[in-house]
Parts: sequence; C-alpha cells; structure tokens
Amino acid sequence: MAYVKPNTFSDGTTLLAAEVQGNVDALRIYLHEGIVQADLLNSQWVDTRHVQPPRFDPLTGLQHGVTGQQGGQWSGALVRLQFSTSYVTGNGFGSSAGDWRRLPNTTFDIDVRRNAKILMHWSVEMEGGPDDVPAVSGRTPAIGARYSYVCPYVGTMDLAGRNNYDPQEIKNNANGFRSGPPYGPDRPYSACNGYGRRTGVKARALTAGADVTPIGLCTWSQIDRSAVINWSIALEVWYL
Amino acid sequence: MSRINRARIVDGDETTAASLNDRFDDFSQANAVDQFNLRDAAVDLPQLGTGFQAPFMQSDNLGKSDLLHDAPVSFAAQTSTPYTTPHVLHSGSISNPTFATYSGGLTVTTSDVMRIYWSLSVKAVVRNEPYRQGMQFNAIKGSVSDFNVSTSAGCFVAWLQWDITSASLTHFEEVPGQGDFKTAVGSFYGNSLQSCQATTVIPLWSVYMRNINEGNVNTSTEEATAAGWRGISGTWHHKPGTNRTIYGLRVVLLGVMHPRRASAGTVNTLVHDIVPGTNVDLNYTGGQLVTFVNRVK
Repeated sequence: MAYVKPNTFSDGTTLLAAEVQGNVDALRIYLHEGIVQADLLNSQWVDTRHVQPPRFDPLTGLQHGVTGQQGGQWSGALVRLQFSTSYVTGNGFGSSAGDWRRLPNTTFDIDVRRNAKILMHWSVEMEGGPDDVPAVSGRTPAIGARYSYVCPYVGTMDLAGRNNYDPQEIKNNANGFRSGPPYGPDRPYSACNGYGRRTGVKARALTAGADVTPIGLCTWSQIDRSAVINWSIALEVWYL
Repeated sequence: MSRINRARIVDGDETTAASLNDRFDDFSQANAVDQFNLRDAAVDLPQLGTGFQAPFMQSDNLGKSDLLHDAPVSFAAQTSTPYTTPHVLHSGSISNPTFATYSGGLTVTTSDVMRIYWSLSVKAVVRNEPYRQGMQFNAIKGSVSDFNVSTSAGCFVAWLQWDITSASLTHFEEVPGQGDFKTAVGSFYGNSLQSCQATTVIPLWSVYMRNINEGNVNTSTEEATAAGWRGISGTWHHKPGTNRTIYGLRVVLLGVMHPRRASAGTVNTLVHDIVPGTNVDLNYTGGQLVTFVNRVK
C-alpha cells in the first residue's frame, strides 16, 4: 500500500513529538515492505549493470558481480592446443597423487567475496598416442593399458583438492604406427577409442576470506603424448 | 524533483506546517521510486540473503574408487526380457549401493529448478563376437554372397531413478521424462526416445571393414574393438509442478540395447536385445553425482 502519512500538521497548532514520530514510524514500515507497483517509475531504470559491477577479466573470461561469478574459457580451435604426457607426469603408473600436473590454461584463479557454492563444468577431447614404446616393469603399463586422465581440482591437486572418483580416461591408440608410408597411426583413433569427448561437473563450497583459489583441470598420463585438441571450462559461483 | 532530493534541514531554516507536511508527502507520490531513490544507492551484497539463488548443493561418490582399474566393479548384461531389475551402481558389493541420499528429504519447490550432473568411468568386456548376435548386425549384399556387418550400435543405457516416497529408500522409480525400458516394442521391450530424457548411452564396440574392394566386402577384413575405459556423463533437470520432496536419487544400468522401431512410421526406440547378453559385461570404477538446486523466481 502506498504511503499515507498518519498525521497532517496545521499552522497555529502545537507540534507534538508523537505525531512526528508517528509519521516517521509509518514511513519506516512503508519503506521496508509497503512500496507497491504504482510507486515505482513506470519505465525501466534498473538493469544488470546496476546490480552487478561491470568487472570482467578477459583472460579468464570471468565476470564478477554482486551475486557471484560466471564465465568460461575454451580452447579456441587449435590456438590453445594442450598436451598431456607421461614425461611431465612422471611415468607414474602406480605412483602417488603427486604426479598430477595442471593442464595448461585451464585454471581459473578466483577470489570469492562471500561463502560460495561453485559448479565447474569441463570438457575435453583428446587423442591418446599412439604410444608403442615398450613397457618398463614397475614404471609404465603395457602398451594397450595406458591411459591419460583428466580431473577437476579446487585449490590443490592432492586429495584435499581432487577426488579420485572424478578422473576420466582417454585410451592409448595401442596399435602403434604404420611401418610404411604414410607412417601415421596404424588404426583410426575413432576405432581405438583414442578419441572422444569427456565431460564432468565439479561441485565445491568455498569460504570467503581464503586466498585466491585456483580451480581447473589437472592431468596424469601413462601415454607419452596425448593431445587435448578441444577443451572448455565454465564456472558458476553462487554467493546467494 | 525527486522527493529524496529535498534539501536537508539546516540551522536557521524556518519550520512550518507546510514544509513538514511536504517532507512526508514526498513519499506519497506515484512513480517516484526511481533510479535516484533506489538504483543509485546500489543493491549490494549485504542487502541480499544467503541461499536465495542456490539453496542446495551436494556431491556423492558413485561406484568404486579404482583409478588404475585394478579391480573394477563388473556386471553381466541382463538376459531376461523384460528384465527384472536394472543394475544399481555399487562400490564392489551389491550390498553397498552408491547413490545420493538427502537427509530429511530435499524439498524442491515450484520456484526451484533441480539440476543433476553425474559421471562414471566404464569399459565394455565382450566375448564371442556379440556384435554378430541378436539384432546387432545387418546383412549387406556382396558380389559373391551376403555379409553380416555390425551396426556398432549396441550399447548399455544408464538412467536416473529417484525415491519420492519415504526415507526408507525402497520405492525408487524413474524420474519424470524417463521410462523404465519395459514398454513393448513389437516382440521386444524398451523406450521411445522421448522417454529417454534422463538416459545416457554407453557404446560397447566399434566394428568396421578394411580393404573393401569395389564393393566386394567378401575380400575385406573385419576389425572389431571393444570400447576401452573412458568417462561417461549425464545431465538432467527438473522443475516440479508442485512442491516435491526427494529422499534419494541413483543411476541404474541396463544392456545390451539396440535402436529399433516397431514398424515403419513408428517412433524410434531403444530396446533390450538379450541374445548377445551372455557375451557382454560392463566394468566400471568411480564417478560423481552432483545435485544442485537453483531458485528461479
């Protein structure tokens, strides 16, 4: 209901504190819960930029607003082609979580201003191998049993920031290379499961006041070379 | 002139009944709450309550944590039709099913959207050329004789069930938009694609021909590869027509499936093909199920 002052003042009468206070009290109620549609200016006068400060980071693709953060990045065709390789991740068959390494360019550093719920959406397309380097006992698995793993992480890549239920695999193109021209892979990636899209969603709660938190993809490879030909990541950060 | 823009009272001002009335009457004007009086003062974080836009989030582990596939969970394709029960994801023992439970029940209101994301690592195990069995192949004409060629369309299906009855979790049923693959399609049982809205398809093998010579497939070489370990995922969302309380939500599996239609002109379906079932297993390790609720109005 629109505001109607309970007390009207007249010249020559005594000004009573109670009447002034009554008007103020009624005004306070009105401002908190009494504004009705007819009171509002009948044209648009608030849009997104007025409630979300227009802060945008073009490197991460993230926009920060009052209600949270949102945005994403992608590989941009072949511009930011990435690799996962056993040489970087330590030929780590059977090794510890310490062999996980960041997948370059796929990490956001975010600063939450309030306790937040986070959803990180991710996808990759990879071709694994061919890697026909002979296996080394105790270090590398058999040629046909090599995989590259991609896993989301929040904060750190140990098990505090990563969950062993999350990784998704890409199989080695285990048929190796042709021995004669054109010297390419002996079998199509599509037939050897060396191709394929992997997608996932990571949910995590973050506490305001912590340091800037990295959120992204890490990788661990048993294959000497896996090309991440397409990737995308997107963040939803909900403060409310 | 905006009402809040009236000058402050300062020492030396004369207070009259009219000036006092004007200060209160400012708030009785129509259309006067505008950018000056509200927008420019900014709606900022302290004015907004927590849990308004995203009131609920939960992650649950699915299957078994076995990164290197040392001892994955394995189960055989169902071989009765219609099947009795789908496979419920577990951690290695059927007595330890893995699914999402919501303490006290998760109430999703008509103002909410419930979003589900899940993932799992899987691998097909095949024996005795199942891609040549049941309805998994077509015969194509060769110059010498016909040749059976796999469609490579054999698959498992994974779909979502929820329990909206009680916290005892004994009444799981298909989520809205999802059928149970028990609808008769000719002499088979399955779902129309329209009833697969919470379904993820898991391809099992890839079969192709090499050295095809001018259409003479008889001179060719058949290559077959079972699908190796890889991640699969699924998504689903729901906006209830009335408030809904959910006590549990799980992923179940069924195979071997194949695309089919009852007859020409009828809808496309996925049906259960039991013939290759004894020759196909599905292995799986770990995954996650994320439940997220957004308030949208």
